[in-house]
Amino acid sequence: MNVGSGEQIKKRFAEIYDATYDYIFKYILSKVSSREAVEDIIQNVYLKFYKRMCDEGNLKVLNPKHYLLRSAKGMIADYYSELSKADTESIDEGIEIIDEKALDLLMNDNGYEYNDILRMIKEMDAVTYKIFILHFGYGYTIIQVADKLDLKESTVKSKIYRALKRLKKEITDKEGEKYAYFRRT
Amino acid sequence: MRISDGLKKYQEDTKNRIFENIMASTASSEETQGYSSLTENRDNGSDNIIGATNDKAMVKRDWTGLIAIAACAVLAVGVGTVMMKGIAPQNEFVKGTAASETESSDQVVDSKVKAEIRDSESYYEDGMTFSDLLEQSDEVVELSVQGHELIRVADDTADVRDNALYAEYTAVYEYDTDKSGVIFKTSEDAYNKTAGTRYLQYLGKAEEDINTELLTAKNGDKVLVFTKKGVTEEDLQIGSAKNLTTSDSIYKFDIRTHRYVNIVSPGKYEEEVNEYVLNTLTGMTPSAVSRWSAYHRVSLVTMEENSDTVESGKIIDLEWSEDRNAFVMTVSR
Repeated sequence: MNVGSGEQIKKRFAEIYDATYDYIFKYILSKVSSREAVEDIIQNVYLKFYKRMCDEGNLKVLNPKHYLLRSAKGMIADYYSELSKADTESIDEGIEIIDEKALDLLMNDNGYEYNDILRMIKEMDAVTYKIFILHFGYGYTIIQVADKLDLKESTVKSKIYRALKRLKKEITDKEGEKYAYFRRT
Repeated sequence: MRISDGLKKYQEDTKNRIFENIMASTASSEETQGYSSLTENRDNGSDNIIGATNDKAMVKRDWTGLIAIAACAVLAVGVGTVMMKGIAPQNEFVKGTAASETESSDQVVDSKVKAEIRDSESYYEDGMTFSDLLEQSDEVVELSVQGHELIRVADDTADVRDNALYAEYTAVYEYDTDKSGVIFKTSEDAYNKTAGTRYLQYLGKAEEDINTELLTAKNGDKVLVFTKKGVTEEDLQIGSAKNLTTSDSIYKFDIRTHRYVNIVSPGKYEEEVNEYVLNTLTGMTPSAVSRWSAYHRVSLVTMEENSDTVESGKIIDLEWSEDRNAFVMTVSR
């Protein structure tokens, strides 16, 4: 029996992980309605794969992407068997008409701190999270994002605008508090 | 920092964090600690770690989370994928089709990764892998079993050309002391079009390799068989006789579980065979899959989906859905 060493398996897994992660992530992202679930599922997809590689000493998989995709689909099916899609059904309601220039300024502002961005991501609703990941993380155009998520283009823009506006306001407020603190001292 | 830079960094951090979680969880010696440690890392980690754990996503699946060894095996025979050439008239999985004709981008894997993984594969106790089985097979054929019983192993040394014997489609032909074989006859092809009589035989030592108690295929069953050329004993002048590649060459399609099962050694190669078939079908046309599902009398639901990677009209995926009680074929819009 040809059994690979732990390091060999880890190396092979790392290569597969690097080669397939974005594809699998985007697939799960497009199918699952919450950020937590996206991360849980992708984590478990790869964990299951890696454990199998370890358990079997050597696992011969010539098409890991397809295997991982199938595994992801299975886990997504499990996820949806327990979950309603309620949170995605009314997302087009109450969308405001946004100021395109203001949106452009917010998107190209380089004054954001990474920790603020992380906090914003944590507080985002699922749809906004997907929009941000696809548009800013993977470089999809607004139209592509809208198409991918089956949303109106205006909805995508509005979601981005709202999130960035809120983030900007929080940063501004925080700055204000900082100055206020200095004034008190 | 621009928002796009922040999101890219977040993506990279997330990717790294998940990788580290996996490494950390599997480094543990405790069997069950793997999954739980993921939760711990997520909840107790740095600022980059956000979110909660969804236990439901951790449910293990035996059927849909299949091993891609089958897909590997397809590639291992030297082609990018396998096409079921002439599925309607001959219902055969025939190897040798150029990859470019049928390969979806889902199936494209970095050649380096492919080569490295190919170096290793789980071996069964007989030292044979599914890849070996596939490599040694010249064709994979789906057939309908016609007869009262597919296989009845006996010490019968009757003349294999005896029509009466074959009328029951059951026989074991022992024409040489070291060439015992299971021979059976089918008179229809998988798609109810006459393809002539086929005789399949295993040129091994049946008494050693085949547990007769476990031979369960019967009349009307649909079987998938792995065959190879060079079969026939010269005096076995019967139709298009073929060799079974190994004693584990016959897989019955179980309508209850919607998958192929090994009729000789239950469980053996089953995951690989099922993945092999689904991967093969995925590389074919939607109409071929429709014929396959009709043949097996299983429901097929076709869904369309936008795809950045799969050409319009091609199959993105094919899998069994418990919720729909049907195979679901996703086709690129």
